[in-house]
Amino acid sequence: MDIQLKRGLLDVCVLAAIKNEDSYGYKIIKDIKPYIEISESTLYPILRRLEASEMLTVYSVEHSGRLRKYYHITQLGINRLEAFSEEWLEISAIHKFVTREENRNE
Amino acid sequence: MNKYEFIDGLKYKLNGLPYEDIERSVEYYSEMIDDLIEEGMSEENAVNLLGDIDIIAEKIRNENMNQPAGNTYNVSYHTDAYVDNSYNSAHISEQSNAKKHSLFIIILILLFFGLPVWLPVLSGAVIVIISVLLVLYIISVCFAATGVAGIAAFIMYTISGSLAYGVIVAGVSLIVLGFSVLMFIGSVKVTTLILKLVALPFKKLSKSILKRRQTE
Repeated sequence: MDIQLKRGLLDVCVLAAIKNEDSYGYKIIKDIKPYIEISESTLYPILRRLEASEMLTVYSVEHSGRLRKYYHITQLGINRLEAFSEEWLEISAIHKFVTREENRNE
Repeated sequence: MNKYEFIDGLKYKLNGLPYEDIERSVEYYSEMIDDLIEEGMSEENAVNLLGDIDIIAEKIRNENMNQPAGNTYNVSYHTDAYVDNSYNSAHISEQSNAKKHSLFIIILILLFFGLPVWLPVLSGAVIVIISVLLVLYIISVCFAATGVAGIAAFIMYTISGSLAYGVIVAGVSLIVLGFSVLMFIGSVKVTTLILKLVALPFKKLSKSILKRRQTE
C-alpha cells in the first residue's frame, strides 16, 4: 500500500481501536492486525502523534505490579473518525472513476 | 537479548532527544515486552519481535523531527506529509528569523553604548581619508599650475629672443603638465574606490532590510 495512504489509515485505525473502549498498546496492535499491517515500532510514533494533536489522551493503570498505559479518544479524535467516513465516500467515488476509466480502455 | 539489554540499547540510541521523549519510549517498549511475555511469549522472543533497535530509534527520531511543539500541529494534521514538511521549514525559518531579530537589537544596543569610542575613531579616519584625497588633488593642481606657468615662461622667452631656454622650459613644463593629468586621473580613481568601499556596508544593510521585508 502507498506509504502516505497507509500512514493516514493507520491513524484512523488506531483511533477506531480505542473508539468504544480505552485500550493499551499491545491490545491495539492485536485488534488492528487483522485489517492492516502494523508493528510495535510503528504504533508508538502514531500514538505520540495522535497525542500531540490532542486526538487521544494517555493515562496509566496498574496491572499486575506494573503500569500499563491506556489511550482514551477525545472529541477531536471522534471528529477525525467522522471526517474519515466522509472522506471515504469521496475516495470510493474516485475509485469508481478510476475503474471506469480502466473498463473503457479494454 | 533480554529486556534490560534492549531498554539500555534503546536509551543509548535515543541519546540527545529530550529526557521526556526517551522516558516515554522506554515506558512504551517496556510495557509492550511485558504484555508480550504475559501472552505467553519468552522474553527473548518478545524482544526479537520488536525488531532492530536502530530502526526503532530511527522511527522515534523521525517522529520527533516531524512534531513541532504544542497545538499548532493540528493545523497541518489532515494534510499529507509534504505539507507537514513545509510547515516545519516555515517554523524553523521563523525561529531563525527571531534569532536574527534579537541579534540585530543587540548590535544596535552595542552601537549605541559604544558611541563615545567608535564615533571619534570613525570621524578621525574620515578626516584623514578626506585630507589625503585633498592633498592628492592639490598636488595635481599645483603641477598643472607649474606647467601652465612654464608654458607662459616659454612664450616670454621666445618673445625676448632666447629660444633655447624657452624650449627647455617648455619641455619641462609639458612633462609637469603630463604628471598633473596622470595624478588627477589617479586621484579620481582612488576617490571612487574609497566611495565604493564606504558604500559597500550600506548596500548590504539595505539589501538585508529589503529581504526581511519580503519575508515578513
